[in-house]
Amino acid sequence: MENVHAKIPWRLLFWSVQAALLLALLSWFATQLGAAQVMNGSASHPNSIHLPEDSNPPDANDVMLMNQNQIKKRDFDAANALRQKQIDEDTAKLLILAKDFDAQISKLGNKPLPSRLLREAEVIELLAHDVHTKMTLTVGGG
Amino acid sequence: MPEDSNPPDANAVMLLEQKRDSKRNFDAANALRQKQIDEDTAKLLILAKDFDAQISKLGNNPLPDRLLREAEVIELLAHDVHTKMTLTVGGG
Repeated sequence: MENVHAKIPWRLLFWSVQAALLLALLSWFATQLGAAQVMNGSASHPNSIHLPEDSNPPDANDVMLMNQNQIKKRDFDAANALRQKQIDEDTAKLLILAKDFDAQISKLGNKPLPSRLLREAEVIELLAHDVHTKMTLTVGGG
Repeated sequence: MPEDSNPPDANAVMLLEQKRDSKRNFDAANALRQKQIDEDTAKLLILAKDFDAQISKLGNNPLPDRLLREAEVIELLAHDVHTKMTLTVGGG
């Protein structure tokens, strides 16, 4: 009986058990650490994997909204372009009227002002007002 | 009738002189206004020429605020000329 007990390497068995326990403890810590990182999400790591909802394509409502915005912007640009063309034309008219008006006023001398010139001045004023208003709209909207 | 050939009395003379004075003042105001209309019209033409040149140069670029102010000045000047002409025609 004494011989059987003497043959078992008690010291080796003890250290083997200790090593197995240590490995089990280490693997448990590693598992816990990994779970904690997943729970914290990607905020702490800029290079972490994105969640699926961030990279999903837009749904039908989003697409519709985007299309509506695009159409609105196109209409807005078209209206601005038209207004700018009208400003060009009105400015050219304004210059012609101003030239004619200046020539008439210079020719007048000391004679009384005719009503025709008064109407021409009114037209110039209205045209200038029109150009100014259109420019305000274009600048404000553009 | 004797009263038809009588010379005007002091009150009538005073009224006539007052009327003459006011007409003189009126003519002077009208002349001044007409001079201002001449000057303003010349300014308006210069501004309109410059404005047209700037607008033509612009192309498809957005309108700058400077041009907006210039359009405002032209409008105000045109309004001023029109108002002065109305006063002159109405009073003359």
